[in-house]
Amino acid sequence: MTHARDVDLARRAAKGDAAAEGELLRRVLPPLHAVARAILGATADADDGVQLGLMRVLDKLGSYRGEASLERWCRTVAVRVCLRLSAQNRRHAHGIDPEDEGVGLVGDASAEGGAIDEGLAADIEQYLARISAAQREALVLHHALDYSVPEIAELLGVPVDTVKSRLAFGRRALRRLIQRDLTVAESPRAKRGAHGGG
Amino acid sequence: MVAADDDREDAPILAAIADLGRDGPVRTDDLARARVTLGEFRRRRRKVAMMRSAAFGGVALAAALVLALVRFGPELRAQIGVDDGVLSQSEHATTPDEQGGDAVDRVSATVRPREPASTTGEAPTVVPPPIEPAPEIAIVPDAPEPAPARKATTKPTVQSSASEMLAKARALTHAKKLGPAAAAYEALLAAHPTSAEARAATVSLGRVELTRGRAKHALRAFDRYLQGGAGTLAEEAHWGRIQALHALGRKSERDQATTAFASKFPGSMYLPKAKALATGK
Repeated sequence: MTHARDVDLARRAAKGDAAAEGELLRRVLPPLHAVARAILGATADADDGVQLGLMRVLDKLGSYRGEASLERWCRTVAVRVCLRLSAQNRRHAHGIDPEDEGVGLVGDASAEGGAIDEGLAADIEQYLARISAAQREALVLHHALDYSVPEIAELLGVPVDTVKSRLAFGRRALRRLIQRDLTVAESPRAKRGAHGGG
Repeated sequence: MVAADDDREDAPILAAIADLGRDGPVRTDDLARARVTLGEFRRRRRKVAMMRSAAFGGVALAAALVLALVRFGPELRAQIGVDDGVLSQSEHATTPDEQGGDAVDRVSATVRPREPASTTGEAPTVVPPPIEPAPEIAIVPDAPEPAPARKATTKPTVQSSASEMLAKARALTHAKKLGPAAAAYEALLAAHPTSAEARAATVSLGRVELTRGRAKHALRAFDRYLQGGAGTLAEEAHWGRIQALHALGRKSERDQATTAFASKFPGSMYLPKAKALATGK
């Protein structure tokens, strides 16, 4: 099944049709934001990812054949861009403990000791930022962006078993972090409760 | 059994991760930022198109020259009298007899050797040199002249070099080499001031300066970004500006900036922190 209307939109946008460009932006921005935020976290890197992803989408518009919806195609393009950006950051920061990445940068929750006092959904990005980048990428690609294990293996250029292992270890690492924080958060409350009751 | 327990236990975590992949609504400022990127893309596309047509023109011109040489080369060579590398100057050639000289004279061209004065004891007489015919000179085909030292022609494109510079600066930042990182961002801004990378680098520079405790420099960087109009990193730039003003002790300006920030980005994750700075908590 081809997406003829999407192909037409892409062609018009590639030729510089302002109306088509406007519609294109409205359609591709949400998936670009979602992908960048999922892979790179809610950081300035994610904004870079959106910008670079959009550039790449615009660059490759001419090669869009309508085999998937425009949004799905943009997601694929953005995933590759963001993974490359993430790998680039990791390569440049080699030797630095993942928990220390970005230390000292403004807006980095871990550097500012952001308290975990909201629901899990609000904090999951902070937890993801604290596990290894390889595990984070595997978890996000699989659970947030719906890629299958073999697809992830191809995207990351690693064996399928490696992806499975990263998924398993990533889940375990997240679970431990959350359990540890819950324990820390609950103990003073328990003490206060005990005082209040006495 | 254990796996099933794990799945049940991890269900909220996996659901939260799944939420990350959901498309959110596009805000007006997101669209504005994307339009800035689109503008950058158009400019870059025009530039690439111009460079391509210039390169194509150059190649076409070179091809035309080669074709012309192949087609008209022999005729041209005949016209200018070049034959196998020897320039025949028959129109000037005269025989030695006509000139009353000898073969040596022809070789010696214009200078006739003087008679040694001491052998005759007479005053040396100046013999005017006979008019010599132009010697037949074998013209060796020109050896290729040493080409003047050229500058490297593999100048990197604006895009690649700007991204490389950004990557280098980012690497230094991640390696916590903040001084060199700031210098690298400055270099990028100076070399490619209009690139998309430079826009992002301005805010990164501000962050680095802030981390180094150079709030004044940081403020300058954030202001520079915000003066460039709506950008993808406007939210971060505003937040950085508030922090810089706070660090400089410019409280009233900080409070004004916080109010403006709250109205512009009411859902920002930085807003509670900004308000905390203002209230001193």
